[in-house]
Amino acid sequence: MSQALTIVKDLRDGVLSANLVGHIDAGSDYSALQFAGVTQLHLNFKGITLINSAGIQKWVKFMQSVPDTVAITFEECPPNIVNQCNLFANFTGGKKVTFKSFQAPFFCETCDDSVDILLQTDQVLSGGKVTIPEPPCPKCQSKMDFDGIEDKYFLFLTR
Amino acid sequence: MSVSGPASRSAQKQPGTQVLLISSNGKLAESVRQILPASCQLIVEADIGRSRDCIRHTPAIPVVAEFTPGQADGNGLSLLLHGHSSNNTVLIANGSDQDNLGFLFEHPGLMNMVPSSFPNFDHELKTTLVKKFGLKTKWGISPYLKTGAQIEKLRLYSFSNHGTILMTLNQHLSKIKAFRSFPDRIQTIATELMMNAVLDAPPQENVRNHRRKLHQRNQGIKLAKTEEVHVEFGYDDERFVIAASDNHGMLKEADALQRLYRCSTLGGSQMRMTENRGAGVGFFMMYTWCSQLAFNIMPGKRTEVICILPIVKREKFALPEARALNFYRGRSL
Repeated sequence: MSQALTIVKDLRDGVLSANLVGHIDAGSDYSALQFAGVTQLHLNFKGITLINSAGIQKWVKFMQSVPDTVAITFEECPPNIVNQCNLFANFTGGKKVTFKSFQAPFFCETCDDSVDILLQTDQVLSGGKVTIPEPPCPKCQSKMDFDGIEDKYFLFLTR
Repeated sequence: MSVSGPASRSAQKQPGTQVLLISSNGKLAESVRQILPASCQLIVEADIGRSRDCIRHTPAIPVVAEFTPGQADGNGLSLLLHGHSSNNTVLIANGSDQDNLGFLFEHPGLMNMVPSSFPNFDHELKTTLVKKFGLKTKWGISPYLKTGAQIEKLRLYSFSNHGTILMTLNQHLSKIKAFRSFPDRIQTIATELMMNAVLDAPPQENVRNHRRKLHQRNQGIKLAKTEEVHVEFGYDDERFVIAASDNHGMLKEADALQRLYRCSTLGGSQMRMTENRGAGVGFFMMYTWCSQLAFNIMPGKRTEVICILPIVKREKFALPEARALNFYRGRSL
C-alpha cells in the first residue's frame, strides 16, 4: 500500500525529465535529480498517489534547491498535487513554474460517475482567464460538468 | 442580558455543578438556563476579562470543550465553546471577535473541540449539553456515527502494519460512493494522524527515532506497547469518521488549540513551510478537508484526534459543506 517515491529520469540536451511515481512523504529522496548542465526541468506527477505534510515540507525544500537558472515545468498534475498547489502558495518553493498540464475532476450525470480528465493549460487558460471545458465522458460521450469549486481549483493557474 | 453575577472563587467552591457562560447574548443565556437542571448554577459573564479570572481559578483538567466557527454575527469568527472541568464547572463561551477567540485558544485547560454548525446553534447546544453533562470524556468515533455504522478498530505497531492499516482502509473506501479525491484525502488524513500520534510519544522511549524509521520504511521497526497507536474508522451513509489515539498523551491541548487558531486565521499561503515539526501543514490539510475535527486530550494519559468528513458524491458538494462552518472566512483560499 505504501509506495516509496520512485523517480524515472531522462537527461537530454540540458532538459531533465523526471516521472515521479508513488508517495511524496518524509522518506522521499530527490538526490537522483542533479542540475549540473540542466536548463529545463520537466516534472511529471501522473504517478503520485499520495502526498502528506512531511512530504510537502521536504518537497518545498527540494524545490528551493533547484537553481534559479533552471526553467521548471509541471506536467499531468493529479488533483492531489493541484490541491496542494492551491492550498500552499509556496508549494513551488518560490520558483516560477509553468503548469503544462493537469488533471481535473469531471462528473457525468448520465453515468452518475466522476473521472479525472487531463487538461492542457493552454486549453483552459487564455489571456489570464480560465475557461472550463466540457469534455465528453469516456464511457457514454455525454458532456461532463467540472466537479469542484472552479475559482478554487484553477487558482494555481492565475496566481 | 441576564447576568447572575461575576464568576468568583467563592462561587466555584460551592458544591454541585456550575455553568459559566461567556456571552453578551441574552437569548443564549436564557436558552442555556432553560436546559440546565435546577441544581445547576448558571454564571453569565459578558466581560472577557472577568471570565478570564474565573477560568484561571478553575482547575480545568480534564475539560471537554466545543467550539463553532460561526456565521451568526457575520463579522469575524464566532466561537461556541462548552467545557467541563474536574470540579464539574461547565464553560460555555460565545465569542465573536479575534480577541476572544485568541484568548480561548490560549486557555490551556481545553481538551475537546468540535466545530459544529452555528445555524443549528440551539439544537447543537442542547444536544451537546445533554450528552456531555456529567461526562468526563467521550472517546471513540461511535458518537459521531449513526447506530449500526460499520466501525473498524486497528493498532499501529510497525511499518508493515502501517501499510496493512492503509490497505484495510482502502478496502472500505472502495465500497463508498464518493467523489474521486475522497479516498486520497482519507488516506492522507490517516497517515497524518498515525505519524503524528507516533511522534507525540514520549521522547525517552526513542519514538522520534522510530518515526524516522517508519518513514524510511524499516519493516523491522516495532513500537512498544506504550507507543502503539489505535486507529479507528467507520462510516454511515452521510459521514466518514477516522480517529487515532495514543496511550501517552504527550500532545498538549494548547498546541492543538494554537494550531487550530492558526488554521482558522491564516490562509495556506501564510503557512510556514519548514521541515520542523509543528509547522501545522498536516493540521491545515485536515482542517481544510474535514467538516468537523474533535480532540480528546487527557494530558499524560491519552490523546485522541477525530476527523469527520461528509460522504458526498460530488466534490463540489464537499467544500461548501466545510465552508458552511465558516472555515474559509478571511482566508486566501
